[in-house]
Amino acid sequence: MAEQVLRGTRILVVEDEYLLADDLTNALSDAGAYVLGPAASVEDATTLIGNETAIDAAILDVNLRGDMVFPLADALRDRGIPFAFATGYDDWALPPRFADAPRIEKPFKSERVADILKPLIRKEQ
Amino acid sequence: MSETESPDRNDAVRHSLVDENEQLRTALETALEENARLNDDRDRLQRRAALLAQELRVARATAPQPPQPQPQEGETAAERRSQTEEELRVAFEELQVLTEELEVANTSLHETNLELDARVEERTAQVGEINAALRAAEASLRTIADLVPDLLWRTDPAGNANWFNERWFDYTGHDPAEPMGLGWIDAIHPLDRPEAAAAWREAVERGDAYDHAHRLRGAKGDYRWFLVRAEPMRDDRGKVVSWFAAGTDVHDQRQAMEALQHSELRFRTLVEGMPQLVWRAIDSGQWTWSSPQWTSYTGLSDEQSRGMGWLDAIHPDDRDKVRAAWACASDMGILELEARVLHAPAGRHRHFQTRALPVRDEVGSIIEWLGTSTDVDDLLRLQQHQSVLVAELQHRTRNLMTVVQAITLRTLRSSDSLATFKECIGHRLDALARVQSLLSRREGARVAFDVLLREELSAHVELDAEGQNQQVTLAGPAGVGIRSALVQTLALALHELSTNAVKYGALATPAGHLAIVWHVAEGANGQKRLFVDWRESGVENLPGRDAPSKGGGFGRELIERALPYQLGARTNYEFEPDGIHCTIDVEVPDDALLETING
Repeated sequence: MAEQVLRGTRILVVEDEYLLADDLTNALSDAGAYVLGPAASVEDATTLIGNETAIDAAILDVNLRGDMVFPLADALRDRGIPFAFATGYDDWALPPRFADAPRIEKPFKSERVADILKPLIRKEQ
Repeated sequence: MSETESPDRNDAVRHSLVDENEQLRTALETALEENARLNDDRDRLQRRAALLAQELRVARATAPQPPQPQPQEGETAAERRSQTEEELRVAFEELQVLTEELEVANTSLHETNLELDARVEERTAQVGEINAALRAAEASLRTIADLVPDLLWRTDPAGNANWFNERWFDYTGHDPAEPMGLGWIDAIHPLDRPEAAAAWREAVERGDAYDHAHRLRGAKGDYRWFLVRAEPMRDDRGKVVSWFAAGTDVHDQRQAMEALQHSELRFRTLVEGMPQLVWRAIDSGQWTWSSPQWTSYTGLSDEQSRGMGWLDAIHPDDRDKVRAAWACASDMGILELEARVLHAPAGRHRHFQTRALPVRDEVGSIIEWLGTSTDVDDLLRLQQHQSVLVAELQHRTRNLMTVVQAITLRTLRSSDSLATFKECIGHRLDALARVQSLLSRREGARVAFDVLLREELSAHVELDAEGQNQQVTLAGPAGVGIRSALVQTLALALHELSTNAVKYGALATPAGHLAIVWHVAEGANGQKRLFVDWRESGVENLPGRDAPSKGGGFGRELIERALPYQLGARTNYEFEPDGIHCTIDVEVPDDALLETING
């Protein structure tokens, strides 16, 4: 694997499709990150961030079994945690307030995930 | 044409002249009578004077000599003579007076005669002028009568025509030489004749004006519509002496009117038959008419909707927008807007697309607006629904691509050769394709577990109509719907289980048997759950519990990890001594029991 650009970071993964969640987890682990989750529902993810104090960034699937992830995104934004959307939707399907959020478009390349997350974390630090 | 009457004013002048002449004649006759009387008196007096003079001569001749009067005889004769002389003198005096009177009378008579002559001459000249004027007026009237576009004719009090203008003859082609009588009624169209004849008779009987439209036959046998008016003309005592009738050609107007009425009728029929709400307006949205559909849709009558009344049916939030659209409609030459209109029967507003175009006169000024309002509520809903579907489709497609990517990676990792990879990835993609097909076919309904299971098994083994064969037993209720989020992963899991059974398990050996049994039961929290039991038997040479899976472990991963992760399923995957035993316990929707179940 490439260099571990996310070494030492704690990344939350919210994705309802097992195979994708697993691949994301693997890709992030390969980049040196510690993966929180993955969580398959808004409910599980909300419980999870309630218990975690240290989260550097998050990858959010937009549609979780028919529920939109946006309330969770708002909660993360309130806590100053950067996130990227992993989405199959076009821009117009996202609320305008998230227009500037980075997106990992599906299907994604594992190695790109780390590249997208890294500047978010650096910017925040 | 000599009968042509002079206008009233000429008549009056003539009457007054006649009266004056009558007076003059009376005065002249009186004067002549007086003159004659005076002449008679004079003659009588002259005769008497002559008589007296003769008596006097006789008396003188017979009388004795005057110088020696006889005392007795002479006295008597002298007395008689003097008496006669006295009478003669008186008669002369009388005669003298009479003669003087006569002279005066004669003079006056002479003067009167002169005066009369002068006046008669003057009157004669005047009457001549008047007659000339009358002749001129008559000629003018005749000219005018022939000049006007109307057909003019005159009848006697009974309605027999005795005069027509030239137009009549030109139009009808009648021979002016032929007497007409009541024949003019024949020129009326047979269909209009009874009514016209009745109206005419009534007018004649009552002496009232006649006013009736009917068709008159032209010279070529064609008919044109005329508005015929007739007025009675009366003498001084109010007796009807004749009727004057005028026929005005109203054919073109009438045809235009009928065409307009037909066009109006067609318009109404059209607009009342169309699903759109149709209306007409003037001056920036003042409605003048609305179709019955508008009334039945909004509950506002045509009357209530007129002017700006129709705004009541527009959603309050849209009224400003509508007013604004009307404000610039004239400049734009079109009105286009979308607003919600109250659907009174349903008690809710629906979206309408409204469009109106101006109707212009020949100089381009807007006479009125013709508008339609089309219900686009369903269309908008469908569009919104479509947008959601398109987004959903995109989401699913991309997710699917990502799943394909993940499966490919896993298959690649577990394949020892490209040939193995090719076979394995091919089957997995087929399984994915089958489940996509099932998902897209369902049309909103849920995919039933038995359908999914049979579809997957059929790809690997031959099943009969009941979904069985010698080595496979299926038992469970049909039509248990499963969550769409579960379908794909479950299908992939069933595919892996089937593939492994065919390659390495119960279906790889003639002695093997596969029994799949399922039922629905209520879980601890009252939710419906589907229990599936996959049991293979008669399999030999099973790998150890911890040995690497022969199929690369993807099936096991899906069952042990993916199903629990995605849907909170409780699963178990065991290697029993004679084959695989796998159980899945997953929540199903409340509406899952599509058909009767036998637990």
